[in-house]
Formats: sequence, C-alpha cells, structure tokens
Amino acid sequence: MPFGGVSLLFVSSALVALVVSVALYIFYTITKHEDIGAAGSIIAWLGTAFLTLALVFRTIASGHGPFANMYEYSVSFAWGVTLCYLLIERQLKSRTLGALVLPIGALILAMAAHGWLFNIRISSDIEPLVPALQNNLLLTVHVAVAIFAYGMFAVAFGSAIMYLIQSGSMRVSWLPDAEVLDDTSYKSVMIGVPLFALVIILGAYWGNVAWGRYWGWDPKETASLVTWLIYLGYLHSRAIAGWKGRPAAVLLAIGFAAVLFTFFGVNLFLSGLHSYA
Amino acid sequence: MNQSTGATATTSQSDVFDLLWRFFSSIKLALGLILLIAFTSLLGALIVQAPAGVLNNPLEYHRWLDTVRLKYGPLTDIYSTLGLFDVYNVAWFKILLLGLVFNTVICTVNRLPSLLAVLGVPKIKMGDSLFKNAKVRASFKPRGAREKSGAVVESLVRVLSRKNYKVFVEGEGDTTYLFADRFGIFKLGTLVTHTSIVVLLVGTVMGGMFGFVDDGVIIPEGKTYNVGFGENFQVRADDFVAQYWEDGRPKDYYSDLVVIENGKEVLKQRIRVNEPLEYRGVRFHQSFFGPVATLEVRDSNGQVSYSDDLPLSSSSGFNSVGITSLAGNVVLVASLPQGGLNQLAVQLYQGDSQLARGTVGLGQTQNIGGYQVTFKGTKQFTGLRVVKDPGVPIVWLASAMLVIGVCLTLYFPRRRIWARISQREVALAGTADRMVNFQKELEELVGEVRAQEAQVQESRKRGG
Repeated sequence: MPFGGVSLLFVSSALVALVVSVALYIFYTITKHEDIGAAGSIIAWLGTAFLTLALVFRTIASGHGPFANMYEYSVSFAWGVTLCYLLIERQLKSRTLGALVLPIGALILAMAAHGWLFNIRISSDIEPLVPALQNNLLLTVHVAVAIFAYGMFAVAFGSAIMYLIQSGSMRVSWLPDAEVLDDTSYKSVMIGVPLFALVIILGAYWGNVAWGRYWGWDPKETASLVTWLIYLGYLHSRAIAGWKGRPAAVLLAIGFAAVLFTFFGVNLFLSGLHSYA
Repeated sequence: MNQSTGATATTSQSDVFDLLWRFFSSIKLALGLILLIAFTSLLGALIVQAPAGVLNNPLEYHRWLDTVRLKYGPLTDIYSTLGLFDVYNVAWFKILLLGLVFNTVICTVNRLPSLLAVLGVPKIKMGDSLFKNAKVRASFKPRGAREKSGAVVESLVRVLSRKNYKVFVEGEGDTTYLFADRFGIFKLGTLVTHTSIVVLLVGTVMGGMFGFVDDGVIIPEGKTYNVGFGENFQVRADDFVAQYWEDGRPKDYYSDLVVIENGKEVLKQRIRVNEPLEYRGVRFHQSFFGPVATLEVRDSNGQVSYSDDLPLSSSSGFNSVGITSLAGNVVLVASLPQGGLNQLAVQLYQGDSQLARGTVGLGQTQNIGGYQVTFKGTKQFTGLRVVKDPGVPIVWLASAMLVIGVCLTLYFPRRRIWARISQREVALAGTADRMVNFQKELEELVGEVRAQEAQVQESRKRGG
C-alpha cells in the first residue's frame, strides 16, 4: 500500500516540523523576537498541514477514518492539539502559549511514531475495523469531535500552568499577564465542554445501537465522564469566590491529567469494550 | 408561657429549614458533589468490579473476593465493606447522584425568580449611584447642547438595536432614561441545562421500571427463543456467521433472525453488531456466540435422557463447556477439547464427585459411565442481548437539552446597559456576564453613537 507509506512519511515530517517549531517558540518566548515567533508559527502550520496529509493518506489507504487503533487515534489527537492551538493563537494574537501547548502535540506524535522511546508499543500497521467499530459515520463524528475537545483542553492546560506561574510570587516578565491566561483557559474550556458533552452523548448513542445500552460504566465511558465532570466543576468553580483563580487553574491541570488518562491510560492499563483504541 | 415556647419552636424549625435550603442551594455543594462523583467513578474504573453474576450469591461473592485478595490483600475487606467492588450500584454512590440532582433542582428554584425576571418589565430608571459607581461606565456630552436630547436618544436606540439589544426608553422631564438588554432571554439556558439533569434521571428510572434486559440470551441455530417478560412473540435464529480477516481479526458477526408472532413469521432480519433488530420496542443485539454440540444420551435402560442442542456457552479455562442435568441429579459437562469439532469430551458428575469421563468422536456413540452418549453434530449458537428500554428517548431529550442549554449559557453572555440622557450629559452604565470585556465594548459603543448622532443631526438640518 503506497498510500500507507506516504502517510508514515508525512507523520515523520510533521514530527520534525513540530520539534523545530517548539524550539523556535521557546526561543521566541524568551527573546520576544517577533521574526522568530513568526517562523515558529509558520513551521507549526506546516507541521499541521503534514499531519492533515498524513491522516488523509491514511484514510485512503485503510478505507476508514483514521481512528481505528491507538496509532491512528494518537496522530489524530496530535493533529487536534496543534490545530486548536494555532486557531486560538490567531484569535489571541499572542504566541507565548505555544511553548507549552505545542510540545504536548509533539510528544503525543512522538509517542505514536516512536513508542519504543517511551517503552510502549504502538503498532502503525493498518488494521481493519472490528465489528463494533463498523459504523463509519458515528466513528468519524464521535472521534473527530473528541479530538477537538481534547485539543481545547490541551490549550486550557497550557494557559492554566502559565497562570499558576504568573499568579504566584514568581511572576515572569516575559510571560503573558495572569488575567489574559485566565481568559484563554476559560474560553478554551467554553468550547471544550459542550464538545465533550457531545462526544459522550454520541458515544452513548452508539453504545445503545451496538451494545444495547447507552451507559455501562465501561472504563472509557467512566474516564470520559470523570474528565467532563472535572471541567464542569471548573465552570462552576468560577462562580465561587474562594475558588476563582489558582484553585480553578489547578482543576484544569487535573482535568488534563484526566484527558490523558482517558486517552492513553484506559487503553494501556484497563480492559473494557473500548480496548481497541 | 406556652405560647412563647410555641413561637420559639416555629422559629427554630424555620431556621432549620432555612439552613437546609441554604445548604442545598449552595453552588459549593454542587462543586463538591461533582468532584466527589468524579472521584468515586474513577475508583470504579481503577478497582476491579465484581461481575454481575456473583453479586446476588454470597457464596460465589466470597469465592470471588478470595481471587481478588491476591491483588488487594488486607484492603479487600475494607473495599468490600465500602462497596467499592460494585461502586456504581452501591447505595451511597446513588445518594451522591441523587444529591446532585436535588442540589441542582434547589439551586435552580432558588434562582428562578431572578431568571424569570428577564421575561418581565425591566427597571429602566436608575439612580445616580449606578452611573457614578458601576464598574463599567462611560459618559459624554451630547452634541448641540441647545436643542433637546432627541438626537442622541435616537442614535443610542439605533446603535443598540443594530447590536441586537432590546431597548426600553422612559422620559422624565428633561431627562430620558434608557435600558438595553442583549441576550437576556438566554439566561434561561441555565434553566434548560439544569432541567436536563432531572429529565435524565426520569429517563433512567423509566428504563428501570418499564423495561427489561437479558444480556445472556443463547439461541442455537434453528432454535426458537421465547422472549418472555410479558412479550407475546418468539425469535428464531436461522443462521449465525462469524467472518475473519486473513490475520485472524474479526471481520463480521451476523445472525439471521425471524420474529414469530401467533405462529406466523412477521419479520426477518440479519442483525450485526451495529444493526440490531427491533420489534415492538424490544431490541435484539448481536452480543456473543459459541459452539453447540448436538447430543443424544440414553441411560442403561435405553431410555433417552437427553436429546437436544447443547450450547457450550460457559467458559472454563480455554474451553467452552456446556452443562445440562440428567435424571437422578446427574450433571453432564461437555466440551470441545482444543477447540476442535471432531471430539467431544464428556464428564458426568453427581454432586461434587465425578462419576465418569470419556471422549466421543463426531457421529459416534460411546458408553460413558453406563450412558450411551451419541455426538450427532456441531453447529453454532448466537448470543444476544435482549433489551427493552422505553426511557431511551427521554435520555436523548435530556442530552439535547443539556448541550443546547450549556451552549446558550456559555455563548450568549447577557449584557445590560442603563443610560441617563440629559442636555448636559449622557451617562452610561453596564454589566455583562462572564468574560465579556464590557468596558471596551461600551467605549466602542459610545464612538458609534457619536458618529450616528452626527449623521442624525446632519439629516435633520437638511430636512429642516
């Protein structure tokens, strides 16, 4: 399958581009040299374009959306994180978050492409869909929406971590103001929470069709619910005086840990109906 | 004396009620419950959950506990007492869930008057202190100080209406008051979201009350299954097929089902994992499958003591075994050794002791413990999950309400502007929900109003 090979090539190119862009973003964050920042953005967009092509070729080669196993799912996740970040960057007109968010995308991609570096095995072989997944429309919508929600949560995580730095006693002059960071986190969660609700509901709908129940406390279902509840807690925490600010930012950090657990942990450590991806 | 005691008692009663009301209407409680439910759910994913089969049987449950004792050691009994091996069904977890629903209801009822106020008549005339102290405010001098303030009022109304504000104007002498509300109605989004939680509860409870589930229905090919649960129809499985890819991964599982009602075939359908059969609100989902051994067993007198399709549906190690009881408390256990289809291993038990064991080749008869066992053939059975859940549409309704409500609340933050317009000054004050940079918006608005004002003046001059 030549298309499969082309896809792998694009994944490698995207990884290189992302690593370079991360280096440029870090350099930019410290020096504030606009040209370096602009170069970082362009290369990050290039990496995202490579990932888009990788996913397109993968889809052509396999005949189904690139969500059938851990490898495809991870490449899609990395694509979602970088794309969501870059879209938010355009909205904010500020590049500083990239130094924290883009490495997340690069790491996930590295994990998918070179799992041995992290002592996990993720096969990049093209696999046919198991019977439960043979519902192309639901598979595509369910996972694509999840990818965007995760991407938004990754951005929220990056800005929450920076917020924790900026709202403390060790303010860093070359990072954005705490207020801007808080705003960014909130806006990302604002997009992420309804999207993720939709992911869970689509999953429930699919579960009802394929397994005959809309909810069964399967580990993946449970982990998704836990993740969503944490972000729901974050939204409510903003209405409580003592929880605004740092505690809310800590919730976002925990929330992203839950995202990673839902994404990787459930598949690697727990068995359940979702263990194919 | 008596009277005063009575009065005190009433006061303290209402105090208690007040206290409870405040407790259950607090958003802190909501946050606490949300995080606690999240944590408990996570425990259920991390701690091995007892299979449904052993939960109703204390003896089997204890046997199961011993198997997990290897993993959890002395914690096993603590976990078991706390119900952590069946977290999602334990009473205290359900109390947490109900607590959150109750909390949501009380919170919403508490806010109802202020939420419904958006539908009522707003207060247009505001006092001086608002225009002096509001966090978001602006003021400017209207053009043409000598003429009446009409031009600026008209401009304000125009600009605000263009921005989808609902505008209310009230005059008092030389001063005009104005109130503008944008997305006020979307405040009710919270109501939709919070109601969805109650609707969700109704949906799940309805499913439990008026529905049924049997997730272990086994139908050998060619056999008919009586649905039961008060349903008056049967389902026959004509065929089951499992297909595999070259590398051994499953490709497709399907069963050909026929619905029979009053002795007539009313519906034929091939079901797959993603394509269940639905008849009269009952759904049949392809769930599992396995081998069937067709057996005939005659006792020492030559009497037939068993002649049927025996599904080998229980698993024992790597083998699928089928179990059936014969007369005289004798239990027959059959399995296909090494997954082959040509040999059937048969064991006979009485109580805990094994009476005899032997192997029968396909199409042959063997004497095992005095019984003539004939292995007539093999076929497959299809394993179905049969479910009726009238609560499902209500659950989807709740889901839609949840997403729509959340979007309304998050994406349409309400903005309110009050204005006091006199010949000397136009004073504006405003509030907005959440992350709106309202000061900036208000200043932009002032700019637009001033531009509009110039236009209005111009056209009036020309007209006059």
